[in-house]
Amino acid sequence: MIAATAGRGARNLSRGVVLLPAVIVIVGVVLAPLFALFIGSIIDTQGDQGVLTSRNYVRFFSDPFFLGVLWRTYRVAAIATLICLVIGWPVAYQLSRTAGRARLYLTLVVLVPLLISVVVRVFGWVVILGPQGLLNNTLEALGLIDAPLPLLFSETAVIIGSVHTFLPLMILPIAAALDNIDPSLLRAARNLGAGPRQVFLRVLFPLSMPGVVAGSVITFGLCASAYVIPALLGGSRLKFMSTLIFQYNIVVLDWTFGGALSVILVAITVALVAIYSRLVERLLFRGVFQR
Amino acid sequence: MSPRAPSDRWGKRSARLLGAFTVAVCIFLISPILVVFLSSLTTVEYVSFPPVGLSLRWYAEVLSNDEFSGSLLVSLRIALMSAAIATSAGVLAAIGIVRLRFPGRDALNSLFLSPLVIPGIVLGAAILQLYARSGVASSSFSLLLAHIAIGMPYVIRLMVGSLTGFDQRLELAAQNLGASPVTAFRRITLPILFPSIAGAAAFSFIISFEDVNLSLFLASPQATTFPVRIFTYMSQESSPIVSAAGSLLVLIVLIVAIVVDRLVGLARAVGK
Repeated sequence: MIAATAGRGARNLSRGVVLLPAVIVIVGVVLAPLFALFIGSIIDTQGDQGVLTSRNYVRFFSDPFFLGVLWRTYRVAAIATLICLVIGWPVAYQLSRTAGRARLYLTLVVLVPLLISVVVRVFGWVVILGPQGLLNNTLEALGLIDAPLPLLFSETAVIIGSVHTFLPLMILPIAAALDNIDPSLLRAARNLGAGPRQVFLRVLFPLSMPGVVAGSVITFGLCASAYVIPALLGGSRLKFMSTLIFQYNIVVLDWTFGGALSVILVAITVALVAIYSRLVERLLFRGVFQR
Repeated sequence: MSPRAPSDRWGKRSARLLGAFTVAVCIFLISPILVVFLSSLTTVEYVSFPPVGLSLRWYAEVLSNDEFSGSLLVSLRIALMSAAIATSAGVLAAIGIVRLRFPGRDALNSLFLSPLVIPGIVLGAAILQLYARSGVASSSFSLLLAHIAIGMPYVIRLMVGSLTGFDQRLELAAQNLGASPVTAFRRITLPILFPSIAGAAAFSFIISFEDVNLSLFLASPQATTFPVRIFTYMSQESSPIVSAAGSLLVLIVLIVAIVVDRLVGLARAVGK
């Protein structure tokens, strides 16, 4: 009995070799560098001795400029996520109600932009929003404006670019959640006298919440850490956490502070996402059981 | 039937409104990409929309420009190599995850998928600091390592899905008929799983070929990938050569994406 178990264990162990290459990649290329980055940001090397330090973090949190960048990063990410939700929900609903060929085409239109490199999409917005861009030229030709509007290199441009880039990631999970709703629930609600607004507020939207939470967590996280969008649509004056990380790692070459910036970005994003999910859970719980 | 009657008109109108809204969002999603493509066909020296004239002049310029054509080759080489390695390691890992029973299996699976949730710029900075700066790896080797790390999770996710759906009795039947476990795997399992493996490989190729966030940190004058080259040109000037290079990037990715869709379904690959 024991021998048999031991034999199976040994066989399992030798079969475990299949996991080895992937483990090496994850440990060597992901975990070790991230760990080193974190350690580098909390250790001060003086000579050949390492001393624990909070210098990099104190520097960040005591400077109003950095705090302003932090606030801008999450404010813009939150606004973009909210807009994605408001625009994405109806599209997801339409997607879940469509069948056949039309559904295939709609899915393609939502999916294909996801596959197109962010550089290309952002360049499209540069061409549209620029001073001699499509939008300004059209408005000028229509006589609506005299001088080009400063659309590019603004928070608005960053928000437009973020919404465009991450909207599919909001639509797909919500559509999946809506697909899972049993149609008889909607019929039951209608038979019990619920109007369209009530069906939406008390059946459809609450039941789509798993998709809404998944979509907004992905969108918010990616918005907060996106680099290309703020770098090209925000311009060099408008700093975001991601552009600071690039600047300190590549231009200023202050690696320990660059590491601290990365740690702060990840830690705060994770914390905000956790608070958000908890909050939604509690609201849902109350909404479902107190009425 | 009667309870539905009062809301029917409301329902029809709102359905039409929803349809119009969806069309508007689709136009919003597609227009920037269309603008890039159309502006690449211009004959003049500046980006204009609609394009002036119609020509493929700027595509020829991209291919004859040493910086663009050089980095296109760098990108293709890194994407092919990283896809091959990520697929081999990922397929093996997926087999282990699906077929072996051991404590911490789910945790290991999440660990394998973790690069999907780590911001690209953070991972880029981390790899830069540990490998490229310490001189352990050259710029192009650290690019390769980084691209393996971001491609592999997609392979594992896709393959865990296909392997879970695979009927293992086929393999057992082959073994009953006298095939060794390795032969049974090679002659039965692999051919059946081949479309999924090819799809996963093609998808990890796309991930590598399009990556900007990691590559921006790891690229050097000797090894700059195609999207990074487009990025640096873009931040300096908006010339039609950028439109043409961007369209070329899209074209290559779309061709590979069609292959992915045929083999595993695009929606599954993207992670719906």
